[in-house]
Amino acid sequence: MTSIPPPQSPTDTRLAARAVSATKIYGRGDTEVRALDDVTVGFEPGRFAAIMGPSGSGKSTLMHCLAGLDTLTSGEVFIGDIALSPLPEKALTLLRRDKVGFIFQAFNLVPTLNALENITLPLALAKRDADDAWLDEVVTTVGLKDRLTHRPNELSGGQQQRVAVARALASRPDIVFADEPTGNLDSRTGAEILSFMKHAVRELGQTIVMVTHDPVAASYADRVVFLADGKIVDEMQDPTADAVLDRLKHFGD
Amino acid sequence: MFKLAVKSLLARKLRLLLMVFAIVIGVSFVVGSFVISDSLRSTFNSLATNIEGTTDLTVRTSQDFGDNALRPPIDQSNVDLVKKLDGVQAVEGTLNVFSGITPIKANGDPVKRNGPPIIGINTVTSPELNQLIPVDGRPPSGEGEFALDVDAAKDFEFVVGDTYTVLLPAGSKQVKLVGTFAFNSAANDTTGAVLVAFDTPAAQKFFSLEGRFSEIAISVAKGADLAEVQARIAEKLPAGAEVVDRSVKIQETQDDFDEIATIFGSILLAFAMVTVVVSAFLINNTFRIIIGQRIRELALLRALGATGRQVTISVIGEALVIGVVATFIGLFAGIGLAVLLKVLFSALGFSLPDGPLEILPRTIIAATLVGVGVTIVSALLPALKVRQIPPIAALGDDFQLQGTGLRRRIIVGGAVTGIGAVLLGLGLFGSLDTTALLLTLALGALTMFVGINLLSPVFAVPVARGLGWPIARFRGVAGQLARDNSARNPRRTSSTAAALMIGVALISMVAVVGASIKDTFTGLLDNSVEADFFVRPDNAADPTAGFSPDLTAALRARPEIESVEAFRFAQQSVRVGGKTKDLQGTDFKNLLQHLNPDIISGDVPAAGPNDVLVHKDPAKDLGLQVGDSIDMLFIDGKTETLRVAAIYDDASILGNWVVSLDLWDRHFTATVDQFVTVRSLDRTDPTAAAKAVEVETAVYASVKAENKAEFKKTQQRRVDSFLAVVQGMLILALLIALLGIYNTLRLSIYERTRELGLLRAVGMTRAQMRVMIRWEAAIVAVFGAVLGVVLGVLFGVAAASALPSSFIKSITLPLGSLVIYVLVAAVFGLLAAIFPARRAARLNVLDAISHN
Ligand SMILES: Nc1ncnc2c1ncn2[C@@H]1O[C@H](COP(=O)(O)OP(=O)(O)O)[C@@H](O)[C@H]1O
Ligand SMILES: [Mg+2]
Repeated sequence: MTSIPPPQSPTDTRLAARAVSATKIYGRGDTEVRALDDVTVGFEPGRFAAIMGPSGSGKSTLMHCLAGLDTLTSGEVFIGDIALSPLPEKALTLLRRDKVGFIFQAFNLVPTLNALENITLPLALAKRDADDAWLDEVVTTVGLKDRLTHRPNELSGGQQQRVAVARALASRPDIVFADEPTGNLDSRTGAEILSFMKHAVRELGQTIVMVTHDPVAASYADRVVFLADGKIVDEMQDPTADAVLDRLKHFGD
Repeated sequence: MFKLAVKSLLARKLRLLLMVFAIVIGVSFVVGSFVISDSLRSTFNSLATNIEGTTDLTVRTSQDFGDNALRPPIDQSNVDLVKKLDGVQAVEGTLNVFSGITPIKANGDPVKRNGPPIIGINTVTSPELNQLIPVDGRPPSGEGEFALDVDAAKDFEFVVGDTYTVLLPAGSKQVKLVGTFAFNSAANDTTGAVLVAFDTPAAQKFFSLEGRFSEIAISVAKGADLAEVQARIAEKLPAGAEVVDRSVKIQETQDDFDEIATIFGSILLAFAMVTVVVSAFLINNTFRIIIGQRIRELALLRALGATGRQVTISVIGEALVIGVVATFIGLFAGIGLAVLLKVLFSALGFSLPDGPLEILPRTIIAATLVGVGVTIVSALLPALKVRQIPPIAALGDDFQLQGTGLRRRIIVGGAVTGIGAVLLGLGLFGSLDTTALLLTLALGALTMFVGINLLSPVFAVPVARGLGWPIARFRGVAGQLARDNSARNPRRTSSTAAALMIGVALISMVAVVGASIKDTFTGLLDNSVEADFFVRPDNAADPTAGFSPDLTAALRARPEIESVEAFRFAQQSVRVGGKTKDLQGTDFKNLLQHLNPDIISGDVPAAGPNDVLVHKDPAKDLGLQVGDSIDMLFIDGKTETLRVAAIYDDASILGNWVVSLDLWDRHFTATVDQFVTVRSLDRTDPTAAAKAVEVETAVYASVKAENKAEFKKTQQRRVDSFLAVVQGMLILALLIALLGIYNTLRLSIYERTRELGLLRAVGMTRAQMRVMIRWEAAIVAVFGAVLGVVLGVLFGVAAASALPSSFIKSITLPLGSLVIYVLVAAVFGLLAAIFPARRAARLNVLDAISHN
């Protein structure tokens, strides 16, 4: 297996997020699973990165650990220059609230809150006022202007994901993590969401790391990192869907 | 299907435990109240037989109606009359005096027991009829000696050989304790009563019963025919006297005891029923939530070929299992509760006699009906709804059971509430006998609770949002989410709140009635009482308690005192117009200077000894006017024709019928005064009179003298302590409701796991999550409390207006208390949420997000 070194040193503190020798082991003895095996990877600010790999390769685990939702067995992850493993639970929560945005595959929204309230939820939790100009820009970008007072159950799946994107962006986080954000959507709606995300990176300067197993989704990113069996096995700059598909076909070779 | 039900239950142990617990509480209360009253009854029954001792026949005055304690004494000449007859082995005149007797302890405090009376008795000499077994010392002899029952001597630290003051109907005496005794058996079968014994001449003198006895006890010679002897005695007795055999006496005692046991048991049972109803709401709610959560599982069963009926049966099967298990546990818990209650009561000074616990088949049947029945009824509607679940729901995401439509809910809920209100009205304003009345009221209240519960989802959302407004405003987004969550499932919010509503409604009702009674009494004291001081026996629990008229006379003799008015009363002691009535006795001349009963017509001070004062209600019923004559049959069997001297409006102190003390003394034996009012000579400064009252009453340790303000306070405190007892028992209903809130929250949190995970992922801190859950609970609790207070005030106002005006003249709303109830409910909600909130805060974020 070839291992291509990352373009920038993972110790570079200018990175938005990075993992250094990150290892995550589930279970013990016979049932031991190395979900992450000594992964070292970094994500530059203002870029759209995709993490790809077959099912069970450790994509979600990597993302969760980077985002402070899960802890490593060994190694370290950083958001900006903050090392996460020494942080107590509360500090991790505040860090997620203030510096990280999330987009999950489904169930992104609180059903009792309307679209706008969902978007500003992290801000409200932090008792921070929304930056109105920015909020307006985000909302306009994702095309939700006339849906703001709707409850999630009054929105289509695509609209719900757009609200989730807007929420992830609203607090101007240092980095946004998205776990298969288009996995539950038809391809046309999925394409829309991906365009929004790409737009947010290009025009609004956001940093996004997206987990996906869909080569078309990956093609929206600036860079693709390939995972297999908990290890980084390859990476690709400015990917096209065909190139990614081609690379995936040769997995396990 | 049954196996499935059991499996499904075991998979959710905590939920099972909570439901079982709720039912166990209800069942154990039902069982406990039956067991304790049955045990009391059986103990009393054997005791009633025991204490008759060897007395075969009893001669006494005949009495057509009224309480045995009011029976007039019999002349002692009858003893000799009986003695000479054939077949009579032994005859003894006996004395049993229930009022006006109080030994004073060495430290100067009066002897006092809560409940059981102090009874004055005489010692008898014939071995056949003596029931006093000497323990220490010797029997008393002469006017300077007395004896006490061994338990009283021990409990109140009386030492044989010491001299004590004993307050007696004939005044206060210094007497030496020469012995102690056990009554009837070595176990001293007094059922807690204190027995004070003198020799016969001293007893007759001290009890103001010279030449008379309470009864005459007769032992029949061996071999003589009881019926023949009885007939022989009956033949010789003068008119107005009768001879009865043992079985009649035993039956009478048993009936008296039975009444106590029944009242006691019924009160407990009423509380038990409240807990059962509250539990039913809890169970119903839990079933509904659980079924909501299991839709997919049940749909899968349907998809695999189970019929709607089979699914319904499996849910009812679950209820059955829960009911049976809970009944079983509740049965034992109830027996434990009965034991506990007995211990508790004796710790409070109400000693109940010892005896085995009676567990009758009826108790077990009732427990099963309550435990299994309530559970199945509570599960029935949710179980029937299960049929709606289509197999396709197994695949889909968001199938919701169809709730009842708004319109239908308003119609059905309104109708049920209406029926409840009609039943309540029927109970309060119709004329039903006691059992039917209580049943109607209970059924009415229950129906109304169900009706309101059906209706309340209609307004749960706006009300919950309104109540939550300050929380949303001041507790940030966590508060806002708390408010939204409390409003998101109106059906569930309503049901959870309903359990609390019931407890709060009953407590508020009691508070409204209590406050109204208190205010009526206070107003009465302010407006219609002219006297300055009130003298009464300390033992407020005993309606026959009194003190020697010597005290009244001594007060009257003081120069600082203008006048003294003595009152006596006897329940159910006369018959007027064919009905048994309570009677009061007092002096007419000065009455209006002490009390102002709002005379409508007539002249009280001019009334003579054979006149009667009548309250306007009975006067109206009997068509009486001032100057009319009315026949009054007294308990001694004599009838007097009385002239109506006045008709009055306010019956709160005087009752309905008032006669002169002259007339009273002619027909009643109890020669003690029961209530005395005193007017100061100096109308502007009663200090000197206060001193005089203090000096005179000081000798009487069991007598309490109070000025107007103190008297007012004492009366209010009496109402308050009664309220406290009732509300204390109702708190239990609130505790079950607390369990309901806890249960609902737990289940809701489980349902919302993924949402909670999301909140945590996007930055909600644990503290914020706890705030959210806690305030959600508080809003639901306050919703229930507000409903409860509103209903309770309605019930209270209805009950207050149904009570006679001598209890309640105007209705008072205890606003302070009602607000406190709502606040307490909020605190209860917060408490109930402690553990669910902690649990929610501890959820692992990742697990929660991937939960389904
Ligand atoms: N909570 C867990 N307990 C045990 N094993 C886990 C757990 N979460 C993930 N794994 C295992 O770790 C590996 C990586 O999982 P994951 O990161 O979810 O993969 P991906 O998102 O790429 O499909 C898989 O083999 C998975 O079975
Ligand atoms: Mg994954």
